[in-house]
Amino acid sequence: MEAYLFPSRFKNISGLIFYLTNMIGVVVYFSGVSLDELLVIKVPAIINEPIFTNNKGIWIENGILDELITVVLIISGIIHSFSREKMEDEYISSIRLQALTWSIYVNYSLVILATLLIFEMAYFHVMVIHLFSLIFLFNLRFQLKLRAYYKSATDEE
Amino acid sequence: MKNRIRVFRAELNISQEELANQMGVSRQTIHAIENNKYAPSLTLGMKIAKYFKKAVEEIFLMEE
Repeated sequence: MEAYLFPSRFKNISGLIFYLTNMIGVVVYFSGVSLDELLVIKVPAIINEPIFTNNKGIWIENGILDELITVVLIISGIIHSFSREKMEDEYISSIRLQALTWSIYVNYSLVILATLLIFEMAYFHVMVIHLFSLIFLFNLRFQLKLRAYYKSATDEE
Repeated sequence: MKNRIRVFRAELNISQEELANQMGVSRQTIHAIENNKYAPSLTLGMKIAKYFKKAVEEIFLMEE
């Protein structure tokens, strides 16, 4: 599993970007501020449903700030989660794997609950949150477990 | 799985830190193994046994 990890030097900077972008994303999304008018450029749209835009054809006009935030959030979250620790060893790998297992169980339990209990436009909002919830839950669980790991053995036995 | 790492470490008078450095793991990992919170891989178990010049089963004991 270690072969797929990023170098440890990426951990802090990606964590900073991840939590910062998370905060920006949450504030923008729940404040209802529209980002559609910002950074408008022509972008290729593989699937272009008229329900979301009046544009037709492959190239459409789109404000890309929200897409940019989404991509940065996902990439920084992945790098932060899968960067080596300075002293990466098999116990940390097992903590990472346990955190990943836990977060998949919790995340998809929430998806199932939301699917059964939330409908229409509210369900769309839940799905937007679920774009990021897995990586967020995993990060949270892994960092909490890592903190406990580093706190253990503070006194030499 | 129980183990006797602490006993053998005391015999050699080495710290968790020293053993961890020899094994290429962190001190927290040695601490977790000693306290039965983590069962090491076969590779690490054999490395520890080799370091103490003992058989693996002398160090690691399966609980019934």
